[in-house]
Amino acid sequence: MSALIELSDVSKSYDIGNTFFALKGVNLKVNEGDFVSIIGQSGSGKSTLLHILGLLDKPSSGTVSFDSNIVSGIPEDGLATIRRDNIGFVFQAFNLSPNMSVSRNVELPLMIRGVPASERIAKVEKTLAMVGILDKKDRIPSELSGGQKQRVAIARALVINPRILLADEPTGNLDSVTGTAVLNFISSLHKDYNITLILVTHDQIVASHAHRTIHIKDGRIDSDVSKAHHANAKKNK
Amino acid sequence: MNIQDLASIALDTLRHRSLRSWLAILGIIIGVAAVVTLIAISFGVSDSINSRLNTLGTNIITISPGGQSSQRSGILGGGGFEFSGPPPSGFQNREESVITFSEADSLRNIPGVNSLDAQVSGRGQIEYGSKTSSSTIVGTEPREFPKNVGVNLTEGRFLESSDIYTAIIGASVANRTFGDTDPMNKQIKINNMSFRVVGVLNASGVSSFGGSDSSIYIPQKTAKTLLNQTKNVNKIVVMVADGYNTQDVANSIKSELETLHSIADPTKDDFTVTTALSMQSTIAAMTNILTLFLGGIASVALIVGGIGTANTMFMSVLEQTRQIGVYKSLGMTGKDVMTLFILEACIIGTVGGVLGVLLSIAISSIITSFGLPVDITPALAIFGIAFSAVVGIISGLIPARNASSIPPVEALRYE
Repeated sequence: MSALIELSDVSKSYDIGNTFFALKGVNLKVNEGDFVSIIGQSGSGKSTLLHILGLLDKPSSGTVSFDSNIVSGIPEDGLATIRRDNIGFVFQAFNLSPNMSVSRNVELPLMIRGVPASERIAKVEKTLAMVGILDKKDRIPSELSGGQKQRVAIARALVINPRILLADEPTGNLDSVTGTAVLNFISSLHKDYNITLILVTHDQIVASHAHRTIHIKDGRIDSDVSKAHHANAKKNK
Repeated sequence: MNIQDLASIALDTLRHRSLRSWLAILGIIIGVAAVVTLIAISFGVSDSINSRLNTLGTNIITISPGGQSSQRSGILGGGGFEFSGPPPSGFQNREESVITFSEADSLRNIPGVNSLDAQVSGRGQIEYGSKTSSSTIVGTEPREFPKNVGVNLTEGRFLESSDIYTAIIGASVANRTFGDTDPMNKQIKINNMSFRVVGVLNASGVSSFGGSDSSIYIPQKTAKTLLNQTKNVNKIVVMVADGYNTQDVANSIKSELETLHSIADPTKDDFTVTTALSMQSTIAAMTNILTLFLGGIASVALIVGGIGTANTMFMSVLEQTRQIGVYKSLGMTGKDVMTLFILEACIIGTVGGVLGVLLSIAISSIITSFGLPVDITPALAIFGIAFSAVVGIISGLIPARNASSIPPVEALRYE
């Protein structure tokens, strides 16, 4: 299977008085249809890794390929176009637009993509029905519970039929019951639609939903374990 | 991204923080209303001056002694100089700053001169009963006077060639001297000489600067004696014949007088030739300065409104930093983000502009009821709205550029 995203010797450093490396020489391949969890303590570099995988951030050195094309050198607007057409994001803090109704929030990626207004409503309603909150479509985010907000955020990520869904601590702001429900839903997306899923978490139980678990520590990949290949525990290290 | 979609997102944002949006809009409203109202006032003043000038007729030329640089009167036409006798020396550029009756007569032969009224004028003491007052006395040629005075009679008749001690009085003079009494056929004394009032002029609205409302018109021959002025004219009023261009005839008169006065350099003319057109251009230059001056003062208010908008936009960008990160993660380009915030500022400017113009229309109707002419033209209204939209856009430029250049990861991290 061809790699959808491939990182080669990727490092990310920040200059904060002295040079601080958030990532150091990371090599990683994510294939189409993978369900990967990235786990590590806070400050381990897992969010930086997710941002680079999602083309939201550029590495300080090394190369990033998307769909076999090297994209680490292209300007931000070019990356924006790749994200628009291929990548859905789900954030810990939901990041919904407080000014817009639920359906407008979900419509936003379609507007950015230039989908005609006439086609948008049907797509939005179909996606809201899929995440089970069509009845809340005219509400504004502040009127929703945490779990409902995260479902709206998931609908917003899914409405463009992304090839890859990146979730950054999607259950971090939810209670355990709601968190489990959201996690089960995200897992079902992989099963039902074969979406490539990358999940960042610090929670071992959450990570266990994935088929492949990457441990990250001090900016390096500590372990990369696939459920089907327990024997070859350490890959890409 | 398409512009309607961006505008609808901008509207969502503005609605969400409506109080702050409205405060920014209020700043623009006040600025636009000030600019539009003050410009409208100066348009109104200009219009009313022009409409009064038009009553003087476009085919009339007036010639007065004294060069352009020493000319201080006569712009609003009617009575001309109010000196008795030739202007005192020292006030004029040169000693020979006079036009004689014989020079005036030689102008009658210039092609295009239909009729010519050589007038003498001065101040006179008016007595009627126990009332005394002072007025401009104009000696006019009886046949020519009705053609160039520019207003009709309220009652009575114009002067006739055979008249000697008869007078026609202006509307203000009639009011001041006679009050409720009918002035017709009453005897008044002008500088102790008795005159019979044979006509009263309609009000022309020009009562200052020796305008017809405050003047008394008597036969020229009588005036020469009364004002002791037998040689020189104070003003010549020429009617241009049909089919001739007023300005061409004025130029011919100018060069004839230059020949008579042996003047080689036209900038050193010791007389002034005025047409309605040249008066209008003088007035236009003055009112343009007035418009610029008032508009300039009012622009300060609009600039303050613009600064308020810029402040609101900086706050908006700051508040929405995280949102900008989300927009970018969803694939919005820097250009789209910039357009989004410029549109937000442009909406503030445009809404402020529309409401500001409406406010200025309301203010104008109040000012008009106090008698000051105000003229809000459609072009001025459109200018007001467009100007404030541009002020909005300019106020939004830097905040929008800041917003578009935030890297998505940094924007998402913003707390």
